Amino acid sequence: MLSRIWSLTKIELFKFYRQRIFFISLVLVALVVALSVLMEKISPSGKGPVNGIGPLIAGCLNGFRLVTFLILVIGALLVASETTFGTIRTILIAPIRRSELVLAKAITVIILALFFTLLIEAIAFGLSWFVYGFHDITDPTFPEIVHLARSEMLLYVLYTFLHILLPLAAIGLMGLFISTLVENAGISVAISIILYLVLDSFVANLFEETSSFLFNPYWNYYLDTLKNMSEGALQEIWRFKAINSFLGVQSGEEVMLDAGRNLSVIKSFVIPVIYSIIFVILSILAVHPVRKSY
Amino acid sequence: MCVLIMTDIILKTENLSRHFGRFPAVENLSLNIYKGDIYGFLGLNGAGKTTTIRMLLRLIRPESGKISIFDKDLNSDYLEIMSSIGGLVEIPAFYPYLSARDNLLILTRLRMISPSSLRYSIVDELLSAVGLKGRADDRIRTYSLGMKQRLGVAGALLPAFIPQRIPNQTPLIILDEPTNGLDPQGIADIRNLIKKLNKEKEVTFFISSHLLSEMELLCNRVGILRQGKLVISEDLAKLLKEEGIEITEPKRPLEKYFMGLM
Repeated sequence: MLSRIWSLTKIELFKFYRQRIFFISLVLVALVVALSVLMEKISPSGKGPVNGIGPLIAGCLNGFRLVTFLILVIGALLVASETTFGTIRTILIAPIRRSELVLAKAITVIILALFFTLLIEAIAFGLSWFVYGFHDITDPTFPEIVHLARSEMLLYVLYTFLHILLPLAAIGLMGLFISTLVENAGISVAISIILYLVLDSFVANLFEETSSFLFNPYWNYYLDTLKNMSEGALQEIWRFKAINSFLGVQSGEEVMLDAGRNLSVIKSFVIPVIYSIIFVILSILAVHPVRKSY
Repeated sequence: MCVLIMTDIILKTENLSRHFGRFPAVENLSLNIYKGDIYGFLGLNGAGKTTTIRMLLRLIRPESGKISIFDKDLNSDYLEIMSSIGGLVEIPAFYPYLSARDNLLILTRLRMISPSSLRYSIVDELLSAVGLKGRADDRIRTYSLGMKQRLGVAGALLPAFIPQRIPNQTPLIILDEPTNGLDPQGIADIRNLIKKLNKEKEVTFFISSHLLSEMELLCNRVGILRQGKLVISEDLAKLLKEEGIEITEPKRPLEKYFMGLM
């Protein structure tokens, strides 16, 4: 079973690689991230030498906002485009289970989310380092206490990686679930985007937990903190150190621990995983031969 | 006299039924297809041919009845059965942004054929068999309807070109209107290919078609479906003999002239 799922996943990745959408996505993401990073260079704010941490975060934030929709659209096309082309029949007349096909498509979504997350971080990091360089931040009044090494900051950016990857995968899997219900690729994409926007704007305001997988507010919050810090808002360091302590980056003796927010950090990891599992199970149930004819 | 034993039955359906809303697409269909048959499944538009084929390939579920293939139940031994079945349902569907070779390579991967050198050689053999070797690396979106149909037949014939997992098991190929969109040359090529595979590899074929003259030349047994019900399922020569009709090479002067120019 596992070898069949892996073989199907390789087929999915091959098909994606050979489609125009792959190259368009690559160019679009690279362009958005690069422009966001280089904005400080294009329109300097006049604050003197720029710390690369700020542009790095700006590139990541804008890149992730774009990729959220990209992954949603890719997920929404995965099954629906097979029914539109009619290739679903060609695939199913093979010794594979429908559940294996759905699992392979779900793994494809996760791999693509991972790929785009890495791509964004790599472009943003490389360009920021090359153009601006990364520096430590110290408060001249309390240099002993309020000092943040660049390695500490960069490690933190790495930590945000999971914060972004998991919600991104959950969003893509939501698109996959919609695409198992709808037989037209265009309608599947439209419904997925509308559903996402509705959930993001309305439901997120009602339930805090829901918002942590939709437009995960925590990565926005933490990355914004780091960005403000690099631009001179030194009071942000206190907040940053609290987060680092929770993540185990450094000992927390001088840290103000915000227990409630730390709990939310756990939630922002666990909730997207729970959503992902639910969407995959629903997708498998939706294509079961009892329910779905091809 | 040839005595048929149970293992000779490749495909068996018992009281298969399926409705679409209140419309009965297939009703109490009971069929036996024997090893080495080229079975012609005939009927008018809407008679239930494609619905039957979709049920046989597990694309839709029958509401009642049972399907056994290779003496096994289709629902419980699905994976084992499908490893020896190829099929083409209505319009051949492939990824338009990929070449014919890549599309067929995907099908070989789905059947877990390895190593990759074997996949490539099988695909080359298939493409040669349907006369598409010269256009193997062109994208499907550049193909004509007839070429897509040839490729669809190639995809369906794949189990006849791969080593069988179960010893002594010969494949079953289910084709729904395989000559759709083909020119006279294409029809003759596919006919000859089916006959060759049937004779040399004992491949069993279950073919639905509107082209009765083609079915006459191709099939040894036929079943006729009317409004979802099987009217008759019989040996073709016997059937026509009973009716006093003789199978002869049809006189088609224009077709003969055309083929002479090709």
